[in-house]
Amino acid sequence: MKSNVQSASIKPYRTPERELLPGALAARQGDKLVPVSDVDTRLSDGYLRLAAHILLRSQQQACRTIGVIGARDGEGTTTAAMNLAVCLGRTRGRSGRVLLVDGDARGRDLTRMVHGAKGTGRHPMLVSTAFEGVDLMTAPDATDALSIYDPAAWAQTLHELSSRYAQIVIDCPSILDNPEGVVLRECAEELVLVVNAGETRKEDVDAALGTVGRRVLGVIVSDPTANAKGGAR
Amino acid sequence: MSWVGVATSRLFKGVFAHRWLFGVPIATCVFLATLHAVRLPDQYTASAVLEIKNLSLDGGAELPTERSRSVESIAETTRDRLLSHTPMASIVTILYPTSTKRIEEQVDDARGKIEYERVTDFSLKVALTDLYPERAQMALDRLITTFLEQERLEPLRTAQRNVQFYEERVATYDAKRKAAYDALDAYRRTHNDTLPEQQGSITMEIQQGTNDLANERSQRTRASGRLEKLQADLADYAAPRAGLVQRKKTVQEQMAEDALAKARKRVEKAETAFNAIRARFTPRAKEYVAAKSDLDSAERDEAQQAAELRQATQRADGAWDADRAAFIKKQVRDLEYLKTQAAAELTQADARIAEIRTRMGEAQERLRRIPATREGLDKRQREVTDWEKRHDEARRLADRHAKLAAYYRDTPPAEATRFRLAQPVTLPFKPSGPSRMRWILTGLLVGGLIGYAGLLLRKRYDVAATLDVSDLQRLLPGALVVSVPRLGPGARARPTVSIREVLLGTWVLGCVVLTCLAYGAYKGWLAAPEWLTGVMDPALLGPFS
Repeated sequence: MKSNVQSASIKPYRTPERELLPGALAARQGDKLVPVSDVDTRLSDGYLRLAAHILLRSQQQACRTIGVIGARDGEGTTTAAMNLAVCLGRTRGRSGRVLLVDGDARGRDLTRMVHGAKGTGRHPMLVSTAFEGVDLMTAPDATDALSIYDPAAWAQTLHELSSRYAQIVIDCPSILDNPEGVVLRECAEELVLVVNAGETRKEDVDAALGTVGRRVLGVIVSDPTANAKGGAR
Repeated sequence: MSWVGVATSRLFKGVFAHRWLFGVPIATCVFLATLHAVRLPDQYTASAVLEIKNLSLDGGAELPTERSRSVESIAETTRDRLLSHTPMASIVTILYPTSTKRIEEQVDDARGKIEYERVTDFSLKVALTDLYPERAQMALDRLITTFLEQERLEPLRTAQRNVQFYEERVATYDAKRKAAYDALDAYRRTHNDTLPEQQGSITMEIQQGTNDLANERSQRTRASGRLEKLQADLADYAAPRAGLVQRKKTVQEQMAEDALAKARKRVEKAETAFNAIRARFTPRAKEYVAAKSDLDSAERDEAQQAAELRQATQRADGAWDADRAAFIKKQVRDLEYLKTQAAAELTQADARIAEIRTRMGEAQERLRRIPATREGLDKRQREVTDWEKRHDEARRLADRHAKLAAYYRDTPPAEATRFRLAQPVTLPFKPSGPSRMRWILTGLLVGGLIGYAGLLLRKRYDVAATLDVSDLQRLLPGALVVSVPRLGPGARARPTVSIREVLLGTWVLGCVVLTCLAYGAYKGWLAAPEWLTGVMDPALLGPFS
């Protein structure tokens, strides 16, 4: 079966100026994102803990494809997926690169954030990023075969990519608000749940966990009470 | 940090996170409990100490019941007997002089005022709590007095019941014993010939019978021999005797016999003729008279010939050897007499032998029946002995309990019971209750329980509640939960003090201040506000009374 992913040459990255993104381990430079080194330690430490947990788990069982999910829209799954991919890309001793997949065909937030407005083509592409060891697979168009209309295409594509990348992090649409989440969460081997402490309702989390069958490797809790000390610098 | 520190930290974090959920009910309950506690009236406790005598009662009598009861058993049961109906009923008139409740309810209420405590192994402390010290003292004194009197009366009644019971048993056993004696006597009368003590005499009787039988048999043998000898002697005299009898007839005897025979033929012929005439003629007829005359003549002739024959025979016999004949007759007569005697002796011997055998058979039968008689006698004798023992035992117990009853009846309660009033009832001066701090702590506990219940209900039913790290750790035990600062656009700093927190804090602070005012006013540390003093007035207790 022919792959639905168009091969694209990895282009060099240029950074004219930076704009800090709150809550992310990156800053906006032009229309792209670039890594930052001096972030809040609690933020980076949290994602590093989760990355270490994933890498240790991958030595015990197949754990290449990780889906980052949220119960509702606006939980911060895109930022969490990007941060997790950045931390996984920074790890040493890993063979292969990390692929960050934008699975939200409707929002395409990750594609716009990382690759800029020009990367919003009809078909998904593999593009390089400014993050160390991290590539991006842009989001497909809503009419593309890699959408809700062809779940088997997603499975085959991710299967092929898993042989080329050490880790694949998928930014999944929200479980309860988007039907595409059903497809991607089935393609992912492990799941990471993103929860907004103090805002995410318990019934939504229960419903989401009922859908994914509690196959959750880790949970990222974004705590708003820690805002007084936080902030990317 | 040790596990204690970690636990303490988590506890305080949890409490702080739910400070209003716990703080509001706790402050409210403590305030209400304080208001209730400070309005409770003072109570006074009168107490007394009873000591159990370790020695047995000096009654001079055998007191098995009291002696067998140990101090431990008495102490264990004293509380129930002290709180029984009789002693408690004696104090309800003191404690509730105007009560209209039923006596059972008053007794139950009075029991709630009694405290019982074992001070030592031998002493017991009894206390009575009431609103008035004099009434507490009077009621406790009455209670102990009634209790000691009951302690004396109860064993007295028990002893009296035992006396009555054992006297009835004595009468019953006496009747049974007499019946057993009667049965034994009747049995002896029924079996008076086979009694075991007659075994020797019966044996001797059998032996005597054996000897008599031997003697009789020897006598019979002798009589039998003598009879045989007499029979032989009589046989020897048979021939001479036959010769004597078979003497030849003389001529005169033969002629007389012939004449007699002729006369008899003539009579027969005359009779035949007379019978023929008589049939045909009347007695006046000549033929009849003639025939009659012939017949009479023939009969006279016959009689004459018979007389002549007898005379001829006598004359012939007289001519026979008279001496020899007389000797032989005499010998034969004597032998016949002796033979008769011997035969009679033999018959008598047989009869005596039969009698002796019958007697010996009877004696042996009696001897054979003696074991059965002995068994029957033993059985009835055992019954007699058994009833005798029962009667004696019942008699002994009846006497002992009668002695015990007399002791309890005649001895004062202070000496007749096992108790001694070691510490008399004194008038209490200081109030002993109520425990107001206990009420306050109870309010604290109830408030905490209400807060915890609210927390559980909130976690169980409040589905709209948001989650925190601990909730997620509990929800997904196998997942790694990491908490990161929310630095995105949705992050916002919570207000330090919200209106809700201001209201709840004001409520809690008000409760704390009012609690301190109420307790301080009760203790006299400060002057409470007038409205608070009104609330604290026992006259306005309302539902708290």
